[in-house]
Amino acid sequence: MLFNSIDFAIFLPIVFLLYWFVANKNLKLQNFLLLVASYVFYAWWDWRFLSLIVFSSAVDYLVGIGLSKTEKKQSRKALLLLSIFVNLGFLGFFKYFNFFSESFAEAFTLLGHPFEASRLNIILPVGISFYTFQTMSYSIDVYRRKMEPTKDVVAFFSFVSFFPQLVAGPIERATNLLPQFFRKRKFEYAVAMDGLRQILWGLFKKMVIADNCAQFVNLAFNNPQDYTASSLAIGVVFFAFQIYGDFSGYSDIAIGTAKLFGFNLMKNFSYPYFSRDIAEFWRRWHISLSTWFRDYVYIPLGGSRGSNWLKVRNIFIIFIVSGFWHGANWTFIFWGALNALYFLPLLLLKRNRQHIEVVAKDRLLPSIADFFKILLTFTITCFAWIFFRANSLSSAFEYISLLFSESIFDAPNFLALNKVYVLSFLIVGFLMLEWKGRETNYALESFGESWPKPAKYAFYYSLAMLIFFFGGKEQAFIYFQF
Amino acid sequence: MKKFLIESSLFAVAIIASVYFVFLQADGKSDPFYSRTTTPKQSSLILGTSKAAQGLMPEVLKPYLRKDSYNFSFTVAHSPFGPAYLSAIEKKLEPQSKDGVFIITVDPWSISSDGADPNNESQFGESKSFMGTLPSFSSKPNISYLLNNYGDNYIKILWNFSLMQVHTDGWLEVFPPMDSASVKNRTAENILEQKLKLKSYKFSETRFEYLKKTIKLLKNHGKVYLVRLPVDHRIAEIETELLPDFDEKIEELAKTTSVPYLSLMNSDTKFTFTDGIHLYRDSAKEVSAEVGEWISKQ
Repeated sequence: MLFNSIDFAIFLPIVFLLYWFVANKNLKLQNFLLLVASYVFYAWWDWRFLSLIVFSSAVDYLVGIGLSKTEKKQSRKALLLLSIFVNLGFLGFFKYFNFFSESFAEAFTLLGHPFEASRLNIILPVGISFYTFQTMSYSIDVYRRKMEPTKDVVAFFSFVSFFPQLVAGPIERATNLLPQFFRKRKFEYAVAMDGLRQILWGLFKKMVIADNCAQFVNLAFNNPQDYTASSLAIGVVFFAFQIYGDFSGYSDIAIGTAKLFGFNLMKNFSYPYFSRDIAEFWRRWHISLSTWFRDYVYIPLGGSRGSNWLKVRNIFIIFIVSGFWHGANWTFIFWGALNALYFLPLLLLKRNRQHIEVVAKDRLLPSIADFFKILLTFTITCFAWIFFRANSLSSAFEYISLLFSESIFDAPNFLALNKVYVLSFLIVGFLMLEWKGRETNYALESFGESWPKPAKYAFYYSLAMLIFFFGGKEQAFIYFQF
Repeated sequence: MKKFLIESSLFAVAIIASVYFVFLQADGKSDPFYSRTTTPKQSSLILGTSKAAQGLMPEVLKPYLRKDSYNFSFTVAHSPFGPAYLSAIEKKLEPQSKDGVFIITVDPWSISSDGADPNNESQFGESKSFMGTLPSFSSKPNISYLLNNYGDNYIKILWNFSLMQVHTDGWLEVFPPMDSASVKNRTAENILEQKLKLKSYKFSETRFEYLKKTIKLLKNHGKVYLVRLPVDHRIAEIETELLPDFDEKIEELAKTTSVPYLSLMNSDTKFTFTDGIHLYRDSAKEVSAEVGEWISKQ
């Protein structure tokens, strides 16, 4: 079920009413309702893959119980490895089998021993990269004794499959989300309204910004040779806004929906395109994944301690693994490595934490220096996005060579050029709202806070109608495929 | 909770009402198909692809037929003969009608199909379009069409600079630039496109069967006429290449089903086309009169 579908618009109020009016008296019943709703939500795509979630949940639940019953180091390690093996095994099988098989075949062919790669004709279960990481975090945290394992099977299964963030995050930590399933949830008007406001903003990002950008991005990336370099430049910039609008829009809808049920999910995006360097960008982009890799991979590897060689190694590992998490394609690995290259100078010169505070804090506009830093960071980010979006490395390099050609000075040659102008105008408006709200959790959080109620509702109404009028065709969220 | 439910419900109602109001404004300028899915059920129909949609004018036919007819033609992608179009015709047809007039336009493309097996109806692309999925072709506003099939941003419903208009009788009028260079370019593009299509399209026995079924259905509701509309001679050559014995096939069909057949294929020099395939409005008027006169003589 897509958040931007009629199905979800019917599903959400039904679950909401049942949750607060029928199951309100009983916490276990509420959790059970969330579990059923989450499974229905997931089964809307393909009910067969529900078994994977159930199995993954069961393994980590039992691993948790097992960890609570043994103090032996080796047994505990074996249980942890079992969880990692099962979760990564699912990922490896469904997501990476064909990639490894083909890559090995290509490598052996290059070495003069050609063989036919065996391919599996399987589809990738939606959200598998998200929920497997979420369940693994539980087992790792229990293993590290950061939290007590739970015996409440319904609460645990609900935590794994919690529908607002099941298929595209934020990837929640068990330490944050699981305890919320044991606390009585109280309906609060202000929180619920905040949730609706965040959903509205998420829908705007997804349907107006991302889906409209997608039309031109697809044209530019599918047939770059048909377009002038200026059109290709627009294609890249639009992709930057497409992926941001798509993914952060999803996160906003997820966080907003969770608020309606009294849950608090972690922030996943924090105005990444206002970053002044790439280190700041990575603290603000897909925060739940970055911090997951930081806590469970980077720090165990030694983090930024040790020799320069170790630092370089760790940075490359973390960025390449993060790239590979996005998809089984060399383009994602290259994208990760490129970001590592961007990041390394900052780390080695110990300048990776110079921009912790939000840009232009308590000021209306950034300084000229900050403005150019933002522009430079955005430009190199866009360059890296080319690899993320292209279907193959050769397509990415072809795109780049066409982009840096003489026709950069020609007018864009998209057929629906007037639509490009309208969309650019909408993006500027969107950026202005984001800039205004950059010190809050999401752009609309405190926008018009002091306005009288009718004015506030007039604004929300206008935004909803803008979504209706300018919403692109219903499209799946990009991150579903990861 | 009460306050939240009241406020959010009122907000939702305001949005739904506004959306409904905008949907009510959708008309023949909003999109080339929509208004044909909103008019009432009809007793007399003009059927076929975009050639018929632009080429046959019910208003011109009226004095010859002595009744109103409705142009229910779409495009070769949406309304070739097949299960989807037949089902749509059934939905559009006034079930009680007995003395209707039905002009079925035919050409080689509308009884051909692409793909490995042109006879495999599960592969017919139009079944996945609104033609195969719309529950009703006579509801206004047609919410299902607008929600699932409207091809553009909804702002276009209110703010429209469209180069086409579907009239209330279903006739599609287009307003393309008609200078000789533009016409030449569009014609050249279509020739190229149709030549490319030749590589993948083949005659479909299944589609031909559905043409027979369509005739059979409509004969229960009135008189049926088969017409082949003119096209530029270069396009005609491609059509001949696709199906060399097309006319023989249709003449045979006309004979077995006792339905008159008129082919206007050799009269292209008399008419103006916008792109080699579609008749320009003045020529559409002439062709409609010619077809009307022929029907009145039957």
